[in-house]
Amino acid sequence: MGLGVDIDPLGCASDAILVERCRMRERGAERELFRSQFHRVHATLFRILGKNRESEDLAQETFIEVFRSLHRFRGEARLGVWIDRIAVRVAFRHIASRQPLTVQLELCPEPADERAPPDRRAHAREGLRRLYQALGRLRPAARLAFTLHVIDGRPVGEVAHITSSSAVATKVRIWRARRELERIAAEDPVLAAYLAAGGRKET
Amino acid sequence: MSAHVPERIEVETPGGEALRDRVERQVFDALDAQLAGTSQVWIPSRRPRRVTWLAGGCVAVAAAACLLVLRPAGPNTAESGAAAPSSIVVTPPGGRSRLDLGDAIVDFGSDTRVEIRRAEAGATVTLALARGSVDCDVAPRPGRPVFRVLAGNVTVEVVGTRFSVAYGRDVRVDVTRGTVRVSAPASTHLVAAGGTWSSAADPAPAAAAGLPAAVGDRPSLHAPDVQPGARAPVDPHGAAAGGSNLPATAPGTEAARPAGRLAARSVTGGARSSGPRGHGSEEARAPVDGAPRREARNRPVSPKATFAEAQALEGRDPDRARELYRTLAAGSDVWAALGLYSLAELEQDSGKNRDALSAVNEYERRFPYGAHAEDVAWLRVHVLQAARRSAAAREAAEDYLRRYPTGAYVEPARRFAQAAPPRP
Repeated sequence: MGLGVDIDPLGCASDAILVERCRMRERGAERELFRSQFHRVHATLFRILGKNRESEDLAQETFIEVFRSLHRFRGEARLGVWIDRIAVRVAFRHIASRQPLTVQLELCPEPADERAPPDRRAHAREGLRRLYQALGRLRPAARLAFTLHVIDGRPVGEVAHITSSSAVATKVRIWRARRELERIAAEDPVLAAYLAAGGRKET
Repeated sequence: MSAHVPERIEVETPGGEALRDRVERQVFDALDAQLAGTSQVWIPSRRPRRVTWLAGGCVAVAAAACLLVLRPAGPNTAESGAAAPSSIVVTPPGGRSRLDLGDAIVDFGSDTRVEIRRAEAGATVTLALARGSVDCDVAPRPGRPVFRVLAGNVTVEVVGTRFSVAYGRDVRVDVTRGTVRVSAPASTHLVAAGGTWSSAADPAPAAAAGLPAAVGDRPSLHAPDVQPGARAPVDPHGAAAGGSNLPATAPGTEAARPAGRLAARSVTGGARSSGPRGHGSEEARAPVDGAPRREARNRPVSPKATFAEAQALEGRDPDRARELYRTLAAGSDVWAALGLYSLAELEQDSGKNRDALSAVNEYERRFPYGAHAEDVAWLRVHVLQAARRSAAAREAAEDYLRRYPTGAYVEPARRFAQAAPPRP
């Protein structure tokens, strides 16, 4: 099955060496692993959650889980993909454990793009806030599939792999999420404008 | 207004070395603490939804899950009720904890300091929030002592029942269920379910930025039209009457629209989505702007529109969603299969394991080679497990492994089958 997951023998070999060093409790190796993976994991979590504080907490939780579970890493996939699966599980638990209709209170201010005029930045930020508010209304699995594919930019096969789902189920989840967002955006011109611009600031 | 979700949405992410270094320090502190066998560092674990750690008591300590400093406060720390015994709860950055106060469960967020005051059993409970955030799940108050949270010069008093207060630069109150009364120095607000209130909200920042009204209209910030003492309608899911998770506002605002009318709406633009193969062409394009909804309802509805309506209703009106899925399932095409699969998922999500199993059985009988056959086979394992039918669940997992030896769920199915106790 073509999962769209990058398999690189050389990368796998270096992953295996790094993991082995981590298993030996070599602190330098653990830090190396952390530093090489942190920004990607944090970015993925942020794109799923839209909130900096939560994504920071969950990144911490993810890496603790990673170091606890390294003995189970068998090298069948790239280390990054294996860590992504853990991050997604952590995010899923987090989303699923929350009250489904809780209003998101605070979104991390989007990093300011100094090139865009202030009103457009504010508009884009409001659009982003409404996007994640709408995402908060989706089922956890649909939200994960959608954010990983549409916002994090992963192929469907990879999303299916890291969410432990079939490609068909993943496609349906993305499709459902897309329809639900379109339904919400049809009543929300700010969100619609944000989506029409693909999240960019020229809304 | 028609809306289209693009193939890609760009969301810039924060980052930087400072963030990485901070998380790195926290992670390795936690790992070191584990190695040393101490419990003084937060080891993240998700909060259970409903766990009573100390029934009827005052304070429970999340021993292994977080650092929780709990000590009697000196008399000078009590701002009200001079004789009130009090305790102080502190959680570290990244830490969380939960307390059971009998008729209230309080979750403390990261980097929080709270003084809990209660003169005696049955007396007013006051949480004085010095920093951080608390999430309170409180029993309705009629007949019970007052429950309130002080955050700076803002007092949040519970009318009932679930809300959170965050105290940083500003004070922010988020009500998930029921109603609270927020008393700020200049005014008092009753915030209903789904609403939020912020002490920073008065000078509307969006309006200052010259945004259109829809942007500047932040319905979450105040509920000025709700009179003190009035109760906002609350639905069983904790949302406001609008069925939306938009904050509750005055009637007539966008957030207060009735839920049902959304159901008639079929949003265009799905034809190019990455959904099921070959279903993009026959969508009934119901009007999304201006056109009377009754007309839309009276039109023949395509299976795709029915499916879209059903999925939109799952959260607000699951019974109607079930009905629509069953309508779809009565057919014999790919939509019937999708409807049946969705019905099984919905029943499982609702905890109706018997109905979920029935839908699973029907799917496998009618669509043994359907697009979701593999997912349904795996869903059966989950449903049986949820129904506490362990032996049957194990058999279903083994059956899955036999039928889909290279399937998407092989790994969890194998783990499930191996973890289960051997059959007699």
